[in-house]
Amino acid sequence: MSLIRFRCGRTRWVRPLSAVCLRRLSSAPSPATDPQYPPILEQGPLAEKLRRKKVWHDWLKSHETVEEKLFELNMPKYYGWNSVILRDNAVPYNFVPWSQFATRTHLEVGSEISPLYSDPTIDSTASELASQLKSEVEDIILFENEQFQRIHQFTLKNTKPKSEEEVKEIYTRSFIQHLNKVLLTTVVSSAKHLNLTTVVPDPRLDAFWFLGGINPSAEKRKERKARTKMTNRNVRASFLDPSLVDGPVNETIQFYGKPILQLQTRDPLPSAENLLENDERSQRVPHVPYEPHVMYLEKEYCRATTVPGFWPGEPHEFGILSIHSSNFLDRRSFGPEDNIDATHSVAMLSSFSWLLGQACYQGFSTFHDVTYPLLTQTAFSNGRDWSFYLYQLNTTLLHTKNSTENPRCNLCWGTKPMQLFQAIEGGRVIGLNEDVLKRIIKMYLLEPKERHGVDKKPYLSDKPHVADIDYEERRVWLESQYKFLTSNRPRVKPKPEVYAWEDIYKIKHNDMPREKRTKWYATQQPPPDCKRFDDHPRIHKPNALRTEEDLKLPRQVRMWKRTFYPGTNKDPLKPPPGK
Amino acid sequence: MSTRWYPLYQKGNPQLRVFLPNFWMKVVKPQEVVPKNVVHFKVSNEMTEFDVRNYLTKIYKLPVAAVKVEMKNGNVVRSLKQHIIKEADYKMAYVTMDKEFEFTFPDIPDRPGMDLYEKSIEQNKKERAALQRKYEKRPGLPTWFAY
Repeated sequence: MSLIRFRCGRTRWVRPLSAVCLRRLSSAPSPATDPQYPPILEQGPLAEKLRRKKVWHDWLKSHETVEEKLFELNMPKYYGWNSVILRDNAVPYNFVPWSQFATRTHLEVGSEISPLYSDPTIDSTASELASQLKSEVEDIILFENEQFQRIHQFTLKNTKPKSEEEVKEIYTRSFIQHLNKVLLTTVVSSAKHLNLTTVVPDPRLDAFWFLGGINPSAEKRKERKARTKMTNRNVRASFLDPSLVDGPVNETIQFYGKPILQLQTRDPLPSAENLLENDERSQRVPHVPYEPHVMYLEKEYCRATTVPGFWPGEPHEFGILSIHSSNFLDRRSFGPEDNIDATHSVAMLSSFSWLLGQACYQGFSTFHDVTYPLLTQTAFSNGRDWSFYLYQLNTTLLHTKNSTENPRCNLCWGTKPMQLFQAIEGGRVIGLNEDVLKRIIKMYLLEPKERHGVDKKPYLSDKPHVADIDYEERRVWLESQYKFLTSNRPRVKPKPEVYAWEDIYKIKHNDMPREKRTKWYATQQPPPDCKRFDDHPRIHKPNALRTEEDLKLPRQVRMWKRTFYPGTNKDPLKPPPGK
Repeated sequence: MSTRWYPLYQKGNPQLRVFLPNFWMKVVKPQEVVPKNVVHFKVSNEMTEFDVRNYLTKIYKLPVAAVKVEMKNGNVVRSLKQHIIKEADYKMAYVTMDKEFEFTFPDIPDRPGMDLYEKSIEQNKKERAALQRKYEKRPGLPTWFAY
């Protein structure tokens, strides 16, 4: 909706709307007692542009189910968004300011991370459990590192030799999943809420959002300049005012993460602080407007996928804690100080991504802000070194002006890495740190609470998932298409490639004027990036698949398969009244 | 560049003496806005990331944090004879220094000597116009009679 549909084929002369009288004017005098004025709208090219975008945002908000809302983010692009790809195992140098900007987070690093943990009952229970579990944790460390032989240690024909980092990753994942199992079974006696949790090992963590306030690239500026000079009458709506040429752009951000495990429950964690509408700390969030490639980030064409480790409809849809691997730090060569910063930045990005996914499943989106705060606890570990974070999501709005002017901001409290144990020597664990074990146990003890008097899903209908739709054809279609989208497989029609010789002799220099004009750049067709997701020919419905109900419909209707893109074709077709 | 090939040392040859290095680096103004601790270079095509890092840290003692090199295609332009030709490829090095390091590109003209060149063009134009004016009323007269 935000993009203007281009006319393909022959252009027609369109009569200017002002010359057409749409409704016959009535001669009866209208009652002047209660005049109804239209709202006063802000004028100017930027305001008009933002209003055009808002039409799409409102359309997205009007969808009734979670899947449709997430689907709608993909509708403007047939070949996917050219997004900035963030991964939780690759962090450039000095990345904290950019991560803060990209998630609008206020970061506090200290030894005590939040008043939530300083509750005396939690503290005493945790220290009691820590001393009780100390010997058992030592046993787990020894078992995973020394007493347990793994397949990569044998020289087998079919197995590839593993790199040092891969081997370390195997140990870390196995150790933390083992530790989680033991902690859950022990801590559950003092924390009843753990009875109602789902443990997800190796979850898929994807998140997609729009980030504004970034400098336009040279190509973007060139494209915008060209748009100010358009003369075609039929694309008048996409004229660009020259004042907008150097304005900031939105970048689409796609995060891919792979935590070791995450714990989910039915209710969210209690908020650490009240949600402030005007937070002073939001002004201190740095603004890093540089283009992504300046920050050593790469862009790729991909679908907008938001998957917080589970599919919509899961009853345990709020996270308590997630544990991530920090083995990627060994690969970095920027020194130990920057490695600590790298952990902070990945913690902010992955916590934000997980909470954004949870918020999206509650009906919020990157265009519609959360109405209540969401929390999560995140730990980064390689088995020995642990760093702990608590993240509170107060806002999901980061597009256009919001990236710099949003009065709300997200909060993150974190610690520097601490050692759970010093070393393993001679079959014994040396220097197990009870304080770190206590911190791990405290994360399990923090109890989620039901939010009383809060509408959890204000933007969703009574039937918030596609599985609840009654019209079977629509339900099946939406479900399969949504799963296809999140699989990130390419569409049927590949993206038209522009070869180097075409670029040189046809586009840059008009050296082949007699050549047949078939490609999109030589004709009046729009570029492939402007193609919308639903820009495809109708799909034929074979006779064998037509039901008896279909046969009552007109021929031109029953011939084609129906599509059910978000918000469209909500009801089954009815035969015309004569039949 | 002093030599086309890097002189390979064979046993028994005289000791290698390189008087001008094959490696060179030129600071260029970035095309886009960059952080203060980032410097862009045009470098010799043979240089790798390690070479760039060693060049800056060993010779100039600069606090290099990260280096990325990228091979760029030369521009495809139309020559004066209307042929389409491709200019030489080049290598760019994007170097990130330590956080505290600050570098601002010096304020120098984009094309040095261009003002002199433009002045001479204008001078030429004036002289040519004056000559044309002189011969306006004398069509077909050889220049031998000018003086």
